Amino acid sequence: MTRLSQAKTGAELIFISVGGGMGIVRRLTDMGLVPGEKIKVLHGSGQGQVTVSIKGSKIALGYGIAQKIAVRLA
Amino acid sequence: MNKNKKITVALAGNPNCGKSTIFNNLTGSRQHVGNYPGVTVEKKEGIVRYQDYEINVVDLPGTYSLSAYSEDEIVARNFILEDKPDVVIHVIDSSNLERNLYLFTQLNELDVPIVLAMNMSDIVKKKGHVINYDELSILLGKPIVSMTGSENKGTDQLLEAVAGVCDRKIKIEQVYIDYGQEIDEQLCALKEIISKDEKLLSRYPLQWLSVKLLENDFAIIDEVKKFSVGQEILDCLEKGQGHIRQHFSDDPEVLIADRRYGFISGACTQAMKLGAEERHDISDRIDKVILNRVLGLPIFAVVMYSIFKFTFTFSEPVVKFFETFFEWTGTLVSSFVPEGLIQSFLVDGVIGGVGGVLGFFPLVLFMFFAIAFFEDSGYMARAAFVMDKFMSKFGLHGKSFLPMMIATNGCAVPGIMATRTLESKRDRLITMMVTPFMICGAKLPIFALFIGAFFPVKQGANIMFLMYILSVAIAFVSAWVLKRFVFKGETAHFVMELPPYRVPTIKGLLLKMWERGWLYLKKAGSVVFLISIIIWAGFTFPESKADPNIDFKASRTSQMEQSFAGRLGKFVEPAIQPIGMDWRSGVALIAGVAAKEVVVSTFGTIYSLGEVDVDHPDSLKTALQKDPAWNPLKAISFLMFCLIYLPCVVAMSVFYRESGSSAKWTLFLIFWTTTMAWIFSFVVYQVGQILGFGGIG
Repeated sequence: MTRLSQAKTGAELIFISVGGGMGIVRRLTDMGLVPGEKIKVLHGSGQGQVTVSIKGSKIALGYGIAQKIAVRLA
Repeated sequence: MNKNKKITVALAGNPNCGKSTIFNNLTGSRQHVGNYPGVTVEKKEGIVRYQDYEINVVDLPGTYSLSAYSEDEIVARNFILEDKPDVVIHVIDSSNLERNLYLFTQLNELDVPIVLAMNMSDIVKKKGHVINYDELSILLGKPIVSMTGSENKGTDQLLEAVAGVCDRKIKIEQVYIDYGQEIDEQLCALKEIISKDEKLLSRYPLQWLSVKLLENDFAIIDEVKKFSVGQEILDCLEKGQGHIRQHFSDDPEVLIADRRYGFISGACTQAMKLGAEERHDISDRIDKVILNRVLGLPIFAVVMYSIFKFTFTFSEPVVKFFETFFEWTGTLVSSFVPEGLIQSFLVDGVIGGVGGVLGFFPLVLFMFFAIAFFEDSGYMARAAFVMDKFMSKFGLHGKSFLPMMIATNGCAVPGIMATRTLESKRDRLITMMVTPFMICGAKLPIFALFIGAFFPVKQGANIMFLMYILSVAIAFVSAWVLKRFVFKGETAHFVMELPPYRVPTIKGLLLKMWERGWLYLKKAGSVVFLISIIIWAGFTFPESKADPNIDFKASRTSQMEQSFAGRLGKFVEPAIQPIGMDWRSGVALIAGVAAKEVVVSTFGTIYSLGEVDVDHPDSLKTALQKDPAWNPLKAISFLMFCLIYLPCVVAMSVFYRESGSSAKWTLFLIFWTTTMAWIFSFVVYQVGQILGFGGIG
């Protein structure tokens, strides 16, 4: 298990969970992030900000939230 | 059939699904922008006639879901629940079907007739996907219209489907999602209790209500508490949620979301054939460059520069034309109306005041056009992301930059309105507080006048550029201070969908430009007009008695000093003397609260009234240069003050409304900006004097 903030470009990951308030958890769920969902890292340098592809849409995640998302390798 | 049956149709859909394009296609320019009652969420409406229907189309805010965590989502669902539109058109980005249908699973449970507008069918084709619309329509139980909004394809078919549903020619079936046995049992238990209360039953659709309750939707739970069966429902809910948690070791809301996506995935597998494995599309390739860690910021700077360059280059002839037009009107009126109070009123008060605002209108429009271009093309979402890391250090959000951008050379009023895209109230307030610091289109003429008068042309451009930098720096420092001492807490997380890059449509750009431009223009029609008249009267009354013992020049000056405006200026003089200003600057600054460009026209009034030879008035620039009371240091100090001090009346009133009618924050804004302005000017003036920049006077 790692943090999404550490992911590098091209990595394919599986979403496990997100720590944080109900609001942000719900928002990510609404955008397609449910446990077991595939995440493809489109752009990430391993230092925080990432852009990912979830269910075919491109989503940008800031440092703070990427750090709270737990993932594992697909 | 009777003529003109009036119906209401609501447009729902995700952000970036092309909803506003379809809204524009449906309604053309017959649009009306207002607010949903009690909240600061924009409500766009438009009328379209089709067959014998007069359809009122309401554009709901773009949302991913209908939960209670954002104002937009609450507004969207309350509109459907309370206003009960005859049809809801759910606009779907067909190239991103799974995610878009998530909203459908919730709309569907609201028990309203839904027509699915499957937009962007051209992109689906390009990607090589094949959607079996008939099959999907059966699976979801709703009529489907395939569309390409950007080419205005499918609009008629969509209207036909809406009319068909209203005529009951097209059947709609209710297909509920199967949440699985465990969850269903809990839903059934809830439904049984809900059914006991007629009032509750008639207020909400049964399936939707029970699912929302089980999902822990706090807004709905609060509502239900008000009903007679409230307590019973809460007890049942606690038991049911506990049971589910024990059984699945997961929260009910996660399981429900999972089931919804399961239902969607099932429908998609059956009705859609995916094209070959997605290659890197053009958007990805562009993003590799634009979001690059090294290149991202320089590209951002280039884009900002090109927006300014575009604005100034193309608006210049139009601005000149407007200026000439108003001068010409003034001369024309002077030649018809005899000299005296009425002429002065018409020329100085009315034409001068309104012309001042309208003169900069083209510049503002060009600016908004350029911004709309980068918004609609998809760049602004990236820019927000690129800026987020930097901006969050100062307590701002990545999305804060757009409001500030709109205010720079544009207008703080639409800028403050644009803070609506910020979800957290704290981020919004901070952004609203610092947006007025930007050099807006109305402050520009003040800078142009003073820099032009006191600095050589070559230096002038540099000083102007420095002022821009300074305005941004002050905004950031101010945001940091606010974050540190006033609005404590964390900046909201940055989560934003990056839409694919698109070529904007001219129609969309023009509509967006006009919407923001209109906010600016309204000033000329109302506040500024009124205030220019008040200012004119302030200088004209009370009229001083002609004293035969003093000459013309002296009598003019004494008129200025005796007028209401002059007395007000004298009153504030002691407060502004330490920053190098006299009573005349005081008057101009007070008048500038009406609208910043009024500062210039007030100086115009002061100097032309005070001048000896009224037939050959020196240009204002020369008048300022000749006046021994001014020097470059004082000019800079004055400009600093203009840059920072309180926003104009219109901006303040919009701030008041957008802050949730908070008198407290509005007063804070006034205090905050003016204090900052005084401190900055004081430091600049006093230090400048010590360093010997002041010269004499």
